[in-house]
Amino acid sequence: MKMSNRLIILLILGVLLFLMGYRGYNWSLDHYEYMTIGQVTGDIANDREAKIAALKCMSCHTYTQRDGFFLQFAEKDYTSPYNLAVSSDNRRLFVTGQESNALYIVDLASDRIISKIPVGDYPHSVAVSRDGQKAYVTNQWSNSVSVVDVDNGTAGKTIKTGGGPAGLVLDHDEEFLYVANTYTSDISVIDLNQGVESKRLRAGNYPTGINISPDGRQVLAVSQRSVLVEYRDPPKTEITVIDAGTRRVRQRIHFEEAHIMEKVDFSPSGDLAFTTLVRPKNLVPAVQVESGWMMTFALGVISLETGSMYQLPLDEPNMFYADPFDVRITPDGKQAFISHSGGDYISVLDIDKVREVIQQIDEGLILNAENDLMLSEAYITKRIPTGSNPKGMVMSPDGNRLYIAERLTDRIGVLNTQTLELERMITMSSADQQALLRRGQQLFNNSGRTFQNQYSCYSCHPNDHEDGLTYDMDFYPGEDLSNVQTLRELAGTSPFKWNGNNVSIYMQCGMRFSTFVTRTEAFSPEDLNALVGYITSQIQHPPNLYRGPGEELTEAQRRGKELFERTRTNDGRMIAEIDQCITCHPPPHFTDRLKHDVGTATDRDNHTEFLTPHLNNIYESAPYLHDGRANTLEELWTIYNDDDLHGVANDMTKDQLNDLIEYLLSIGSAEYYK
Amino acid sequence: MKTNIQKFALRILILAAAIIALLFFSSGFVINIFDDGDSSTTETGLAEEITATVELENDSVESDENASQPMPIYGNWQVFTTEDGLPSNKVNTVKIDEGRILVGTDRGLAVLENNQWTIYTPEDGLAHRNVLSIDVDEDSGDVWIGTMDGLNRWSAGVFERFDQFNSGLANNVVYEVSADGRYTWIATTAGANRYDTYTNQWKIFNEETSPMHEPWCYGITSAENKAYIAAWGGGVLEYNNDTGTFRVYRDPDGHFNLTLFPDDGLIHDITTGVAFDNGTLWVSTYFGLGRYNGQRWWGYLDHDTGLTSTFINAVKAKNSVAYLATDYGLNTFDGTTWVTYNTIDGSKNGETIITNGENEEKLITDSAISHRFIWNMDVQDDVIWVATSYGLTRGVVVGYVDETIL
Amino acid sequence: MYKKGTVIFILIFAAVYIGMSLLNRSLPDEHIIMTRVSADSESGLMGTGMEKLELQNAQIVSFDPKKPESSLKILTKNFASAMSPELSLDNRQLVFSGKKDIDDNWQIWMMNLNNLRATQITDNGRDCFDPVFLPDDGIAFSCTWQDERLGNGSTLYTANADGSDLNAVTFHLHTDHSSTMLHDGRILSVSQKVYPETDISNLLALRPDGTKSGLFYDIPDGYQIISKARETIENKIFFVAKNQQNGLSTAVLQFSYNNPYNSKRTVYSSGGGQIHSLYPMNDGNLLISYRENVSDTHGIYMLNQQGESEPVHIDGSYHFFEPVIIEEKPFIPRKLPSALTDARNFGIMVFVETPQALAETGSFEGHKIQVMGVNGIMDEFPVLQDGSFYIRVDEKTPMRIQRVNQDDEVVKGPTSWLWLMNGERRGFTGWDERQLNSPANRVPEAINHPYVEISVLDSPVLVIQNDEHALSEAGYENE
Repeated sequence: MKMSNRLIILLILGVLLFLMGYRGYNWSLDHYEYMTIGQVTGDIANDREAKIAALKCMSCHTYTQRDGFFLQFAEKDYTSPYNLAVSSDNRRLFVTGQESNALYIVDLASDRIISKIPVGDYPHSVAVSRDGQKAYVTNQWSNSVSVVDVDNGTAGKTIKTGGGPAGLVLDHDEEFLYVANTYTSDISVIDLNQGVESKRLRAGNYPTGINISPDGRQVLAVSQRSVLVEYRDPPKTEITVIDAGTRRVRQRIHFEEAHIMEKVDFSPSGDLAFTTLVRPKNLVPAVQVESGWMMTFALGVISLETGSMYQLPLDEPNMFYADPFDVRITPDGKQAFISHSGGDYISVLDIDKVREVIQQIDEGLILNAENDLMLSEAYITKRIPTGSNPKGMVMSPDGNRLYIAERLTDRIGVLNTQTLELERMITMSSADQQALLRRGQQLFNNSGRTFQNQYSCYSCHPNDHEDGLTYDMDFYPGEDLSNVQTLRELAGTSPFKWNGNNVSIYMQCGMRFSTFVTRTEAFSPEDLNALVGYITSQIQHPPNLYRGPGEELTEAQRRGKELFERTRTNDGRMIAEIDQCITCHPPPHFTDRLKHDVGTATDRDNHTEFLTPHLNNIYESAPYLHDGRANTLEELWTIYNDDDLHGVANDMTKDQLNDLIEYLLSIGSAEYYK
Repeated sequence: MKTNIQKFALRILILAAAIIALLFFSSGFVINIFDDGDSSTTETGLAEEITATVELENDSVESDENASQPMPIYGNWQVFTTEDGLPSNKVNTVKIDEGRILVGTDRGLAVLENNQWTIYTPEDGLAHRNVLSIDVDEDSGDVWIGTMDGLNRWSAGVFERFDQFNSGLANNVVYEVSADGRYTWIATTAGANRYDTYTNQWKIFNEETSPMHEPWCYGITSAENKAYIAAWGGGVLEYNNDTGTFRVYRDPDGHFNLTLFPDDGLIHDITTGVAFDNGTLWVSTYFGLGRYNGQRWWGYLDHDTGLTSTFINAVKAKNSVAYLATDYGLNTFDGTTWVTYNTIDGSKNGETIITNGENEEKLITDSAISHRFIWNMDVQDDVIWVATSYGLTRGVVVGYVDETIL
Repeated sequence: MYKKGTVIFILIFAAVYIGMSLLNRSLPDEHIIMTRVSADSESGLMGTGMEKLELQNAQIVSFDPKKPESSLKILTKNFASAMSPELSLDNRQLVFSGKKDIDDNWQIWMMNLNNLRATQITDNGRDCFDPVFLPDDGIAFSCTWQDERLGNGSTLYTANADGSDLNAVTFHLHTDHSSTMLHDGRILSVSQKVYPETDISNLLALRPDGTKSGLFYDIPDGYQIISKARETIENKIFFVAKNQQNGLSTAVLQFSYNNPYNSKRTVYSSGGGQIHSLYPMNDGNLLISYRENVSDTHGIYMLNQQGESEPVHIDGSYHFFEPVIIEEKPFIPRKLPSALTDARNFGIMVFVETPQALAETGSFEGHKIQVMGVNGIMDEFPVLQDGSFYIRVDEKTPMRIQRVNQDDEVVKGPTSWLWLMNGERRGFTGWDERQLNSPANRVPEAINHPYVEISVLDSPVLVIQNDEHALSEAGYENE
């Protein structure tokens, strides 16, 4: 073949490649624009450089695939230290590795991990016996407590608890162990001599932290979620006060307009209890972020003598310290330390000043203290920056050192409580903390990407889930209210938002998110890739409480499934396909990913069609409906379905409705229905 | 003409034999199949839940049910009415909860503690002002309150409300509630419930899901991992919590308001209450009292025993003594001895009648119960609280029945 | 044959690459750029705001502090006057206010620091001054306005680096000037109310799209701010203020961004001397323009945090002031997104009362909210039980709001001038303009009712119109 023919072919190929390339390039730009920016006004859409820089097919089509091929190469063996305990001789530090399902024991003289003891799934907290022989670890996703023999480093026994055990505390005689069960909202009282749960007490909604008063007479359990209140009433979150003598609930006190309490500690004299609080403004129209219009954070203080309760702000007028997690008091009762897991800070408080402020509040000299952004200046003495996501802390018995678990850098910070300087870091793993998906996890939990650091994704989606509140986000106040949805296992359930406008999580967290939610600079393309990758591929559901993996349906669940898939009413009438539950809620995600009018819009909604939500582990997501009006699943059909627009149910008897609910409770992760 | 008569007589004879055979046959037959038409074993696949057949051995062995302790006699009656702080004199139920008395009236819940009455109404979170039933869970101390419009769990001062709209509660009219650690058993007008406090799940027992002839449940109690449901017109259902299966106790005489053969089974199907104590199941009905020791039944009517009236609203049992709330006085019975407490028309005094077989002793007492129509009662140690249709009465043990009296 | 060709190709490519980067070199690091006027020209020197427009024959010069005498270079040779230099975030561009001929208006110019070529950015019939770079490489600056009745003031504008997409972003009757960028992406300006007249200047913060404009810092009593306020990497904000009683005594004041009102600190009080302007450096020291006494000329000094100063460059025949230094920017201000849309020519505002105000006032029976425009009360409506209100107002309408009781006595407010951009939504908690309270988490009663649509009286058009080039009176009807 002559030179010229080869040249001609080369030329044609070149032109073809160029055209395809050009054509392909343009298509990919449009595809990218559709998937990330969508139909937004001109001035946002034409940010072409950002688009080109962000164009990484790999990030969309690899890391964000829930079970994508490349995921297997992503870094996996993170420790994610979550909560701590220290032996009474101050020689050993006990660390729960939330993502490595192990309890670590660190020798504090050499900062070396001397044993790594496998325990159940998702270990949350650890309590150590006074003699240091036994450690008790709550396995939040195995609904059990592991009893660890410290010396030979084995987790011999496990004790069954309620669903989602989190905080735990030993009573003073070390005969009873109190465990806060987050998912079943109760407290297991375990008789350690029998090695079995002796009784269960009703707690607040999603209890997490639990602690015993210095005199050993009362156990306080704090909860994450507001109790279910009347529609559009302020949230109020319960602290359950248990009498350690009768081992019964003596009192239920509530912090108003506050929620997400994670830990509780006491002043050594036992007159004050301290907890961390988030103060959401979900009833206030989200017209701005400035001046704490979306979220503020506070220290909850309870006077155990008078029963008075105070909420002391931790923020400042132009700076917010998001997601306070743990609070620890020095043995001399002079200082309190709070870990801000969203702001990556430790706040140091002067407790004498706190007492002065409380007195002024009592005397009416300070009004509306809980909303006063200037007040924190009175009692905050220092802000100490930390690594990513500081969570559980523990004070050395002598009070000189504070150990801080940095969950998303796999490190334990050691703070000198006199100099208030971070002395040293104990590294818990050699895993790459800058790997893409880990960065995505760090971004998810960090408030740095919101105006004035006011909140992180965690603030409304604690534990990658939801906070049970309904926010007023739309343009016109009081209209199109939106009930926060879970972020667990979203892959394959796009589009998103109740109006189904966001085609992908890219779009959900991209330009529009920064414009209407965080109100500051949008995520950079790399960060957006990391965040979307984390949300799509890493967040899982805890095991379903009502039907374990591989378990058969119970009788009631089976009858409920028949009702869910029925095509005829009780009296034989045909049910139109569009009205059959299975039509809009087909497995595996139990959503057809389309919008429907199911008669749930109110006169304050500007559209009547809503995106079908996925029903995986729906039991975790009360309240229900797009605006959170239904407090329980039953209400969807007993109160909000008069015209049978949300499935034909009005012919059902009460026991049939109960069976349907039993089946809905049993719907677990999508993987069981593939 | 004669042959016609003989034929006619023969026919009568055959008919009589058939009736007798039928009657005899039915008492030993599987109760739930013998029914008047709409048998409860409907086709909805419930067969597998009904297994036990009721074998009524009529052995005459007198099991030794005479309790070891002597029968207590109550007195020194102290009456509480609206003058003393009750919100209403119509007192439906009463529960002794350690240091306090919980009183259910038709105008709210009244709590007596340290001689101080505190009234709770719907404004405080009570589901409805008309409180029908109260029970306290031993483990957690949580108080369960059944009202005319929903169920409350009252725990450490906070009222939580369950109703047929926001939960699996069968119906909002809650006649009886029995808290038993993990499970709370609830009797409503449209069936009974088992609520699992650990998992927030509801089980409903009604005519669709159980051999319950009528869903109208007046009474419920639980003991030794079984629940007993008094279904109005449907006798008593015994539900085994482990196996999930039922036993049904019905009146063998069906709807004949007379007892052809004494002690042949449950005295009547229109049951109003159940109590289980020391292996004995007591059943109150509007037509007499039933007692069952696991092997055999006894039925008691007012004309031939110390029962003061066959119209019994409720029954409780403690230390082998049954306490009966009748429309004509308060009755106690330990299997042999009856004690009846009643008012005397036109007088401040009360009367206490002790009956044992043929012997009867009538005592006039200075104090009297507040009214003879009794709705319910509760007993603890040597104190009894009696809910009547006019006022609440407190009594204490003033003596015991011994041979000398009878 | 193949190898040699490639080697040559690489060599050429490297040469071009190095050449280009050399060319691209901006002024070397550590160079200071500042404004200079001859010793005898006092007018406009110590004034702020619009007085500086009287500066004549000012020049922008640069020099190397290590060799101050030899390295002084005049950057704005062919300008009749030039002042207020500000560096771009990459230190490659310099924006300043200048006039080619003596009777021109001040306009904004952009100078490429490599070839020192300046291009004119604004071209309108007003004086434009105090430019600053925005994080999205646009610029913000002030332009004057005049009105017989209302007085003279200046409005903030933003534009692209080439002067296109000119947008006014403040719409109150103020003099807004001396703008800098806050770390959080907002513009920080000195702002003084012109009508009704006051002599108090405060620090105003607003988003570059003109939304959420509000009081950022109340200058402490007894002081008058006379310089730009600049934020450092530790979120400290420094500015120069003169003593109101004794105008000659000045001081460097500092407050913290996080908590402006709890953190005032005087870094340095000049006693007799006069500080003109300042620039915080990365090492924590401050470059200040200062003179010991009135007869001296302003020189450039380095002031440390303890208040000790040492001279950097003094020249008896020139005043040196408005110094900026070429060093790596301590932070890149956030690029704030804008939710504004042309689809809506109005904004909405939600006001909620603070719990303590509710406690003090008890009931608002008979109270009314009055929304006042430039020419009087535009609208009024009754106050709801919880004191909240929810209004819709045409875009860019200057308004002041107050509450009157049953006897029409003003009990709260009037606020300073507010406005809402096209599609803006904003909220207020109580009447304290420092907005130091977060709202209580309750549904404001006002949003359970439709918004109150404020009927707007037309007010004088003070901002630059698109077609306005020649110097012309602002078009408006007086009464």
